[in-house]
Amino acid sequence: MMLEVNCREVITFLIDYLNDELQPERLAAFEEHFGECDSCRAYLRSYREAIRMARQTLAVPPIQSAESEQIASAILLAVRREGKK
Amino acid sequence: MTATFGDASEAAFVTRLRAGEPDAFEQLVRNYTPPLLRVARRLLGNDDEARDALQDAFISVFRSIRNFEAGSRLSTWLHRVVVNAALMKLRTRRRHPEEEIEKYLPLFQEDGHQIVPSVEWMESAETALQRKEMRQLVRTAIDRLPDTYRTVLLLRDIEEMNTEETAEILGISTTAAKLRLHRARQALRSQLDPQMRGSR
Repeated sequence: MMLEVNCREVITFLIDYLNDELQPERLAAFEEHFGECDSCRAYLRSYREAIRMARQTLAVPPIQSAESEQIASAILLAVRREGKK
Repeated sequence: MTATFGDASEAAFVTRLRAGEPDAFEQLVRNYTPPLLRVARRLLGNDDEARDALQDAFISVFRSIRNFEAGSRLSTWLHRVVVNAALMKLRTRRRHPEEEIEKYLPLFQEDGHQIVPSVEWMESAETALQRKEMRQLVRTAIDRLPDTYRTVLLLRDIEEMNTEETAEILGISTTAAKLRLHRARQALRSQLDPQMRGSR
């Protein structure tokens, strides 16, 4: 008999599903559940979208080498001062 | 994570650092400032505070480099010091107690169904983020996560480190890192849900 999972289990262990960490039998049960449950399918898609939204919102522009050099020099100065204490 | 050295050259470099060679420390600061500054900026959302956190972190590294254990990767250790410096700043800055993450997690009926069933979001991330208020909502939702959860989300989903590196940086088990990441994503999703299920 095929293993069955409910919405609570699917949502609780969703990260294992996305990380490909489920055993084959459990993976099949998850796939079966997603095929039948609109709510869990919607949850899975929106969970993925939320990650993409975070990634795009927090994208920071690359740090220019001139800026990096300036900050590194200031830090080295502070560290040298600290070393003399 | 930035791999600045190969294994053999990293070991040689660490030996020079532990011997207190000034050139080695200067190279360390110059090589690692860009990736570490980026992490501090994402955690703090403020350039000045990020610079301060980075400076605090390198001073701490300077003082403790002799205690660096050869078993760790230099990059992982540096990230750990910077994340801790940034978290210190966040704790100093916070005026209100952190919110409980549980209020953003899904609830279930006794039979295992969600109490509030999920529905499809009406827009893609790209379309929604064209609106300024949506970008602000995402930022606020991330800021509202408790520090321990937001940090895992940033390291795993934004910096794209793996679970093992994230766990080592935060000094927690891989199981705890995975659980925190899942809860952080769920809390983020549930904060965006009211807007995303009703938009278009």
